[in-house]
Amino acid sequence: MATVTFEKVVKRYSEQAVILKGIDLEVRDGEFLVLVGPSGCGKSTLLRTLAGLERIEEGAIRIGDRPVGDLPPKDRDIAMVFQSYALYPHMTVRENMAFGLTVRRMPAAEITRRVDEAAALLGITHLLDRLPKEMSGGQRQRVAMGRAIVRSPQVFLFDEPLSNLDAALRTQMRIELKHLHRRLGATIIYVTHDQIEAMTLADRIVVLDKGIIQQIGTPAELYDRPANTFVARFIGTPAMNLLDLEPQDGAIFGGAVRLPGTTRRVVAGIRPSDLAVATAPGGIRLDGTVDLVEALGATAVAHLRLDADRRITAELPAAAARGLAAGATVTLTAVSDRVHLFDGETGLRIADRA
Amino acid sequence: MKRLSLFTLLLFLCIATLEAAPRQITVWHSYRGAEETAINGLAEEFNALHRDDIRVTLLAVPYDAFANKITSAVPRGNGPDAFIYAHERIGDWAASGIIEPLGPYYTEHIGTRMLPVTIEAMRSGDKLWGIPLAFKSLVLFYRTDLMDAPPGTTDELLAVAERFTDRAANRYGIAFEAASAYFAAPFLTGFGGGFCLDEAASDTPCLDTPENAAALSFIADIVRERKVAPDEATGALVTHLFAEGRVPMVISGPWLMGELPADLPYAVATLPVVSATGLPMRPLLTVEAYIIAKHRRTDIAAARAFGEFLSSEASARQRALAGRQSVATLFAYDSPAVRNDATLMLFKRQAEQALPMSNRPAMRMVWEPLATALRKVLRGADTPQHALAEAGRHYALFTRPPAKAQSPAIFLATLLALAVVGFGYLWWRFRRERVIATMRREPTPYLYLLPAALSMFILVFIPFTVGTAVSFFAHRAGEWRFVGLANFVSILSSQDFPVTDPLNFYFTLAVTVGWTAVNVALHVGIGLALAMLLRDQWLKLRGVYRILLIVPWAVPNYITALIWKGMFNRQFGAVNGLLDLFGVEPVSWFSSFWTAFAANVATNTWLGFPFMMVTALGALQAVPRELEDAAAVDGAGAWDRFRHVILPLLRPALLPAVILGSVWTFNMFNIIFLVSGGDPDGATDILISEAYKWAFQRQEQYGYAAAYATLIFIVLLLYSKFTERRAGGTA
Repeated sequence: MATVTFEKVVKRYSEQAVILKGIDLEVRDGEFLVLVGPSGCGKSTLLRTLAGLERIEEGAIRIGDRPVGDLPPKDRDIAMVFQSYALYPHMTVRENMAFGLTVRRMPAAEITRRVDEAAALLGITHLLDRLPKEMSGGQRQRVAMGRAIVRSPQVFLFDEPLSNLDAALRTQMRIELKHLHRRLGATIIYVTHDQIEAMTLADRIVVLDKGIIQQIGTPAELYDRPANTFVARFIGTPAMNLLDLEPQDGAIFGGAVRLPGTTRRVVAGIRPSDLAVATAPGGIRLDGTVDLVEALGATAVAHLRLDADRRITAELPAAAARGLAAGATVTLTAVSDRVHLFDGETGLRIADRA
Repeated sequence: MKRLSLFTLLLFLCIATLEAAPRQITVWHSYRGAEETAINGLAEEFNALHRDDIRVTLLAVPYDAFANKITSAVPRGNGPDAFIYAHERIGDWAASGIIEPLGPYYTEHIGTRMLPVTIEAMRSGDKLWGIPLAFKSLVLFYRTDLMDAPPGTTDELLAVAERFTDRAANRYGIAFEAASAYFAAPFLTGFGGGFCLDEAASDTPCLDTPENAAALSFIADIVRERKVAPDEATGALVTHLFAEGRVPMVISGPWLMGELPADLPYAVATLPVVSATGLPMRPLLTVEAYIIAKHRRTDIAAARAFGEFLSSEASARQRALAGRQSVATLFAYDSPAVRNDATLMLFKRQAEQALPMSNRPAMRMVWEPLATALRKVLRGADTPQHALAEAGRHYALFTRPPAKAQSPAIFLATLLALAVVGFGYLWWRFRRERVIATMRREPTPYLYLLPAALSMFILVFIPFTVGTAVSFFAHRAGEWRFVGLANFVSILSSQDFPVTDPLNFYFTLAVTVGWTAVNVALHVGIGLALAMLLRDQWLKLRGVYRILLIVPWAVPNYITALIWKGMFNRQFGAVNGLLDLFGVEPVSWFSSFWTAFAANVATNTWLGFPFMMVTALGALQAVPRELEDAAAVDGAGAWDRFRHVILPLLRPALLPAVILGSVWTFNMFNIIFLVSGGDPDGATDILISEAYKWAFQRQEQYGYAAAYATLIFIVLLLYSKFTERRAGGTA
């Protein structure tokens, strides 16, 4: 097990196509770190630079104290699980799992021991003689993980490993992965574009956009204190409502929220779950017309129109949503200290009110 | 009304043609260039003269296939009424009743009008079989700007040659195709030897004589010891050296004149007298004759008329002056225009002391053994005496009488039984699989298959059946004899040759298998390596390389073969030129087995790797990049990734390509025939080129050759069955 350090890592294909723009990141020993971001944000590339599958143009990467930037993949002591699983189609499960050990000329007895152990851990012992094409997606996924585990590498890399599975299987595998991490105590770097995966799996999450780290933190930190509007929108479902507001007398929402010493334009963020149907006067008040209500069972998501071009969503208890019909007018309210404030120009979080 | 008038017109035309009905005669020839123009002009003149009587149609037939076409077409009535061809086949055509003799009156009539030596060439038995038109023989060409007078004796010739030779500057004293038996003939006669085929009594050539041995020694002396003549000289090289002025004298025939620049200062002379014997060197004389086919559509008088016309004094003069032919008609030489033409007169003088090539089948069987002996001596592998003795032995083997005729009854019975069993089995399978019922219910898919099935039947099944059937026969001079399995027994038992002899079937089989294995290994190796290189994204100008690398495949392979043949020439080839840069002595590529084999392999590898490269490139597209990434992360280096991940995934695509490539290479006739030609001594021949030699160079032993082909088929069938089984489910 080891720490992983990225220092000012730059990856570019040409002057125009800069994929990573100076990444600084420290992954702690035994940490489950999730890289999350929209497609093309550079998260997979960052993972591949660590694996040695992509060269970096500037900066340094260290595993433990060892600089690995110039080492070929085979000398980095890492294992990787791919989105497509990348199982060798002509090898049985056992051969697939043993491949990394065989090419390292490990004694046969030791290989057998490790493969059997990993197979038992993943519950795939009965599949060892099968070919990849004879297995389901979930089984292949386990084999791919088994292939990583047998090597007991310093770092595990996962590149969107669950995105080819159906929703139910994905949930199940998520839980298994979490257990596995606890069992192995390994350093894991996990790439996904699915923020629920990120929230549920991660010790810490790194949000990437356009080759730049937007925020690093625990799932709770990211959820509670997003560093900018990008993170605020990206983390949490349904996404946070962001309202572009003109402050009046150093306050917004008719004085309900006072701004800490600024009169510039601000963006106010309110999570849909923090909104409620107003039953008493006062506080933050948002009047809107109901567009659509999606019932989710315990809760319902209401889509409302505030005016011609501003829309918000609210996650309401099922009982409260029941009375809302499309076209109805409703007033929503929120507790003022649940409002996130961002600078209208930079999108950065405005220091919290005292 | 309209229909009626059309009918009347047709009727009228029919009557008109019936009334005029000139006798049609078709004449085949193989003339090109000026000679063709001359004969076409004469045919027009003839047709104008005989407007209502005879109408001649000329048809130019390529020289290479001419004799075989005559042999097979005339007896079936598909041939010409008459044809113009070299006299060398007259003997066997006369014997097998393909051509018509001239008749006693005519024999006497032309006797006085023609050059006597050309008349001799027409004789087989006690009859004459053609009207001599023109003749060709070797003469000595010399550059008038480099020397004053031609040498009269071989001593003089050697003296001039030695003075002129400067090997460092690639200059030689004399050039001729030293390794060709045809060019050796004047030396044999000059030393008092020859083939002993001109006397009627003997039918076996006398190769193994002291005189012939002395002649071979002399040729070897010129080429090997004194080195005043280039070895491995081809016709093209001789022409080139002479035109460039790098050799003052060459021995060649009249065809050389057409290839020389018009303003080149040269003259022709008769071949010199051999100083050791005092005898003149007598080249072989080939006489082009007008020969009348036995099976023809018109009467002999009409067929003969055009021949008489061509050999008349006026026509002969026209052929000599316009067509640059050395004509056989004596009176043509009386005309001042011809008499003042030094070249034409010289060819006539040389002809008067030439030896007409024997028109017997035995003559044609002499070439291969004699050439083999000559090459052995020229590369110093054997003494002239021993090489000639060996040539005599080979001659005897090539001309051995065909196997005893057998009654086909037993074979026909077996064939019938096999056919019954085969059709029975087919019927049973059809019944079991309900093919007929399906066909009747849903005929459309079978209709779609019909064109392919039909062409398979016509293009594959029928030739295959005929080829296999032929292997049970022996063929000599147009006569077929059923010999059962005798051809196979003879080939497979190989009693006539030890295993170390290139003529032994197993020797050739071993060479063929080795040739295939080495080639396919190189094709796959180089093809795969290049495919891996070309796949990489970072390679600049990838598309350009891809196209360039496919070029060797796109060029017709006989052109490539000829280019490589030239590059492997000992003195002038590019390969030795390159080796010379590194200080390596020039290699005589076709003198030893391994170098000749290597030259063949190099040529065929050049031709073969693009196919494997293209196949591998296509297959590589289907290997996901993630698999390689996974292997790299798993700890596999480049070689392990290739060996354990990429190669196994390419296997399904490569295996059929390898099987195909093996079959092509196994039968790659062009390369063997054009590059090494089987040299040295047939050692690099593969089964298919050996079969070719039996069929076309050794008395047309088609049956024996067909047996070779059948054996090739069996070997390849076993091979593909074997690989199919080994490939198992993966292919």
